[in-house]
Amino acid sequence: MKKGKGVSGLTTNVPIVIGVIAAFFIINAILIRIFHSPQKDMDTYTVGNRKMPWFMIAFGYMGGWYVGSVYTGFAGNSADIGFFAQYLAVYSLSSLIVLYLMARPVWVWGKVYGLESGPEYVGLRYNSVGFQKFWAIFMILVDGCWLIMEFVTLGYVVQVATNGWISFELGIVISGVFCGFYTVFGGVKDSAVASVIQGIIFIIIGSVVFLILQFKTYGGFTPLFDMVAAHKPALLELEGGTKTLWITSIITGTLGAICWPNSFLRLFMGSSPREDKKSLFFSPICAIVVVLLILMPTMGGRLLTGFPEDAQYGLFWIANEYGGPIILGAVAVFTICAALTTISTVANAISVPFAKDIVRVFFKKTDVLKLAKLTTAIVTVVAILLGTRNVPQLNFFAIMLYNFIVQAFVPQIIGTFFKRGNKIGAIAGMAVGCIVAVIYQFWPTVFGDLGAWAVLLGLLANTIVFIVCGFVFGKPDHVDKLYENLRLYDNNGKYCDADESRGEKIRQDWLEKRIYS
Amino acid sequence: MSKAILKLYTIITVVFFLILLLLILPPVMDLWLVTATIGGWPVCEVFLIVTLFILSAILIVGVLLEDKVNREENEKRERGERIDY
Repeated sequence: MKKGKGVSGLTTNVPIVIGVIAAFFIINAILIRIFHSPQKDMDTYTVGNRKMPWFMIAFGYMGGWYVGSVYTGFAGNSADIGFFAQYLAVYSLSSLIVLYLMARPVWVWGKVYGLESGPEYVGLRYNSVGFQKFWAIFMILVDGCWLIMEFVTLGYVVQVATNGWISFELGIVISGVFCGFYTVFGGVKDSAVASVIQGIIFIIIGSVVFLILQFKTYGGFTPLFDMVAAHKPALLELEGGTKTLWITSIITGTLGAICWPNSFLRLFMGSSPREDKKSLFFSPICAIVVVLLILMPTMGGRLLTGFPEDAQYGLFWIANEYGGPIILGAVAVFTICAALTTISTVANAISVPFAKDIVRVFFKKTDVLKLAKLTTAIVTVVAILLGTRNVPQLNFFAIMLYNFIVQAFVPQIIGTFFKRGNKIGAIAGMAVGCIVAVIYQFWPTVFGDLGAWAVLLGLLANTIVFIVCGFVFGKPDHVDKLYENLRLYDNNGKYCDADESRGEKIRQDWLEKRIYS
Repeated sequence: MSKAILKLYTIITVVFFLILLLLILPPVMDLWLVTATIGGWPVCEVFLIVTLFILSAILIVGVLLEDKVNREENEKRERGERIDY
C-alpha cells in the first residue's frame, strides 16, 4: 500500500473533513465513557462475564470482520476487476454457517470450563498445554500482521482524506492511542460498546450514504451496469485465473473466518448459545447490503473522468467529487470505524492468551488481569510503531498468513465434531497443512498448473492426516467426559443438570488441576 | 449435544453448502456468468444477490428450528423422558 505521494488536492475543504473526523472521535469517546464499566476480573475483561446481548456479539463480530481495507483495497479491486471483488460478500455470509455450528459447543464448554480464548479451547479439546501455547503464538503471529495492516490503512485514509494536512504517521498515532486506550482499560466490554457505536456508523449510516452516493454518481444501479456493459464488459466476467481465485477464496474464507481469534472469541461472550446465534438474523443481510453498496460506486470508477490512477483511494475521490467534503469526511469516518473495531477486537483476542499462556510463565506472581492489560498495551504500541514504518513486505505476509489461518479449521472446527480427533493428529495435520502453505507461497511452481488450488490441497492434506491419526491412535480418554458435559446447558444457557453444584465442581477441577470431571 | 440437534445441524449444513455450490461450481457458474440482463441488472449480480438471500434464509431457519428442538427437549426433561444423545 503506497504511503501517499500525490494525495494532495483530493478535497478543497480540508477543515470540513477534519471537522467530521474530529466530531466522530469526540462523540465516540463520550459514548464509550458513558457505557464504561470497571474491569474487576479476567472473566469481565476477556469475555464480558458471558452476558453480552446479541447486538454486541453481532456488531463485535462484524466490526472485527469488516476491515478498513474494504474501503481501500477491495473498493480498488472493484474498479479494476469488477464483479470478482464481490467474493467478499459471499464468504462474509457463507462463513456464518460455521458460527451457527460452533456457537453451542464453544459457549457451553466456555461456560463449564471457564474458557477465555481460542487457545484455551484447543488446550481443553486436546488436553495439551503445549498445543495451547503453540496456538497462542500462532494466533498472535497470524493476526498480529492484520493488526499492523489496519493501522497502516488508518494512517493512509486520514492522510488521503485530509490532503496530507494530517500525515500518515500522525493519523496512525492519533487513532491508535484512542483505540488503544479503551481497549486496554475497558477490555472486551468497552471494545464491544465501541463496536456497536462504530458498527451503527459504518454499517447503517454508511449504507445509506453509499446508496445516496450511488445515485449521485451514476443515477442509480442500472445506469452503472449499462455503462460498464457498454465500455468495460470484462468487469462483469470471471475469466481464467480470477475464476479459480473466486472459488478458492470463497472456500478458504468460508472455512477460515471463524478461526480468526477475534471472531472465535465472540462465541464465548453471549448470555447463551442462542444469543450468539441471534446475530444470524442480522449479520447475513449486512454482508449483502454493506459489501455491495461499498463496492458498487467504484465498479464504474475507471469510466469516470479524473478517477485516480491508484484505485485504492478511488472511493474517497468519488465521495469528494460527487458528494462533497462532508461525504468525504463521512467515508473517511466509515473506514476509520471499520479499522478501529478490527484493531480493538484483534488486540483483545491475541493479547490476552499471549499474556496468560506465554508471558505469565515469566511473571508468575503478577496479577493476571494487570498482565493482560499490560500485554494488550504493549501489543498495541508495537503495532502502532510498525504501522508507522509501513513495512513494504507486510501486505505479502498478511496474505500469506491467511493461507495459514484456514489450517486452523481442522483442529478447531472439525475437531469439535470428530470425537476421535487427537493431539497427534492435530499437530501433524497442522504441520502438513502449513508446510504446503509455505511451499505454495515461496515456490508456487512446485504445484505446476494447480495454482491457487494448492491452498486447498494443504487443507485437504491437513484433514486427511487428522482423520487418519484419529483412527490410528484412537479417541483420547478425556473426550467422552468432555462431550457428556455439553449436556449441562441448553441452547438458552439454562443449566440442565439435577445436581446444581456439578457444573461448578467441573469448572474448579479444570481451572485448578486441569482434570476432566 | 443430542442426536436431534446433530441431525438438524447436518441437514442445515448440507442444504447450505448445496446452495453455496451454485456460486462456486464451475459448470454452474458458466450458466449465470452471462452477458444477459434482468430488469437492467446483469444476470451475475441478480443470481449472486438472490443466492445470498437464500443462504441467509437457511441460517435463520436453522436458528428457529434449533429453538423448536430445544423447546421439545426441555419439555421431555420436565416430563422425565430420556433424550437421545
